[in-house]
Amino acid sequence: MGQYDQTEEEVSIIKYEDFNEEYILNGEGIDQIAAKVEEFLYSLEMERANVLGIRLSLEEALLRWYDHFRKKGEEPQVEFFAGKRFFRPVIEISLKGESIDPLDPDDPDTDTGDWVGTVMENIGLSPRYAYSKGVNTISIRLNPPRRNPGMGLVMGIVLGLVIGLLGKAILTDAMLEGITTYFFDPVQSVFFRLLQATAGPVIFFTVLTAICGIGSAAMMNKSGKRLIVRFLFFSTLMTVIFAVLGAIIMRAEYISSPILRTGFSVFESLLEFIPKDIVSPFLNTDSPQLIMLAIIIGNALLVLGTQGSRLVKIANQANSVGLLIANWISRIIPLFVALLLAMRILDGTFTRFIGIWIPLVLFHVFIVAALFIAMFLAAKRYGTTVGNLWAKIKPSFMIAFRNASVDSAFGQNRLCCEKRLGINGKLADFGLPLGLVIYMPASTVSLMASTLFAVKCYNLTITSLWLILAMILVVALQAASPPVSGVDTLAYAAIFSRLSIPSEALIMAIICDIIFLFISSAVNQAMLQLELIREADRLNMLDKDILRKPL
Amino acid sequence: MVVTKNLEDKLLNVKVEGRLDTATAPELEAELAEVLDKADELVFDLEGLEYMSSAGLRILLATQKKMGLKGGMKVTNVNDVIMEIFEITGFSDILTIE
Repeated sequence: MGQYDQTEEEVSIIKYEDFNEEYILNGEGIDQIAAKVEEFLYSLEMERANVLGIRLSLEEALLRWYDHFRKKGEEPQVEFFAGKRFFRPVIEISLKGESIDPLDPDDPDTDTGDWVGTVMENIGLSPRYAYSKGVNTISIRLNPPRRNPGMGLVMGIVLGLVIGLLGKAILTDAMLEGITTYFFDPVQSVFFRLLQATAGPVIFFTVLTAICGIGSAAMMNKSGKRLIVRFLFFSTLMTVIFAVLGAIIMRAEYISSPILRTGFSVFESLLEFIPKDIVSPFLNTDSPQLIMLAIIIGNALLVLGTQGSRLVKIANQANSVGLLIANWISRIIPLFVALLLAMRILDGTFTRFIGIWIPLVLFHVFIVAALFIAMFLAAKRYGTTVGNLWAKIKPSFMIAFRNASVDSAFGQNRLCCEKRLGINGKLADFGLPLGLVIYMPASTVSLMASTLFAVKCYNLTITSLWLILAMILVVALQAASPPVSGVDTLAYAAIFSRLSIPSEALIMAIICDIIFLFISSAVNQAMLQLELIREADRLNMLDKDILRKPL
Repeated sequence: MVVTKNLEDKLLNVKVEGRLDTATAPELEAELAEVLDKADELVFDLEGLEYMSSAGLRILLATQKKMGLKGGMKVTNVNDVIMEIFEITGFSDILTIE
């Protein structure tokens, strides 16, 4: 039984444990292994779709072995291992006997096609087959479970404070200068260069694959098109309101200019989004030009349809590589936070960031207020109460909040949509994955909050043009960026570079971003659920009795 | 697993309930083997199906190929989990699902 076959009360985090067992290679044995595979994968908090894909792929591989040995009248033993090797989760299945590669797509003994290869590719995994000393082994190395980002941040801040304060107390000026020149500056420079080098391709391929994905969703489904428009509209609206409020409350230095001149300046800036060639946007990490290039190429690929399918596949694979690199970068962020924090303490510029509590408080108040307003309007529209709505979304909200991740709450989210909010399962199956990638209004606002605070810290002057450009960049980058660790850091690098904000401000942006991640994950998810209620009602796919029924 | 068959005027309706896993798949295969030759069209009703394994997918694919030479095959009343399996594996493009 999978996680989603359980009742609501039973859906809980399955505790991680290792498996190392032997089974007979027959129908029953294959089912037992499949059950263990599912249990192991759910304990890693893996998404249901990926769990199903891996389970089915391993079943197919085992079936191919079974078919081969059954013809010879044999029922060999199979050893199943699921656990960690060198800190990474691994599934290994071993079988003694002659060499048979069950993953071979050209195996003449099977006519089930190569759907296994496609499924694993889509999950981003590469199962391996090996034959050594008379033993066939299939192995799959999985990504480690997502770490709570708060822990890494706290460790980075503590380490940075310790190094910075100790250094300030112990080191002489000459020593400080030496360490800064020969260690801190080069390491900082390497990190910034890494961000700059990665940001361009990641932004390009993320937007490109998003366009291709959105296009196919929209073409298939009018509801998809409507949802996407609403998602982008509300993200933009919230960002605009926050940008204005934030600029006022944080007392950013603002120079106004006549509306007509601003209008022309905006028009001129938008024209600059068109690149003069396809190489310079990458060389200069010009994010607006990269976005524009991706939009143009993405739409061209949509028009080409099947003729462009190979390029779309390559783009998806390049995107997977980019996101993996972004993920690697996210793992060294705590070190980066420690380093930059120490540097700011040692050079005395840390005091710039004393006011960091302002964007933190402002953001949280704004986002919670926005959610409350959205819930109030939904409650009024559908004849229920805010309290009832909150009680229904609270379990999935709290999972996303605790883990700072919408992925971790997907199961509860899906259950909540259908069983508590009355959203038809088919709409939830379509709208949830689409919305969780595109509709991140709280994350968009968080990008804006950090950007405005960076401006304030470095006493930069903003104009209407700057504000409009900032809003466009923030909305576009956030809409196209999947909720993957490290991608936000790259987005900040791209935005700050384009808006002439010093790279040193990245430390503050990263700290704010990680703190914002908890509430923004939860609010993004809740806002999406409210949008899906509306869309379900529009399509007569909303069971209002379930929605109104108190828990 | 419970398999209910109904053959009427060369139209075969097969309702599958419960778990279609590797252990129970041969049972479905045997049930289909008894009647498939007598039918020109086949409709699978999967409303009560809770679980599908790769073995189940193989049966659907093999049956689709056989019935494709005759009147065709449809799969109906697919629930969300089974539909997700079809989508993940690409079977949603191969099977006729209503």
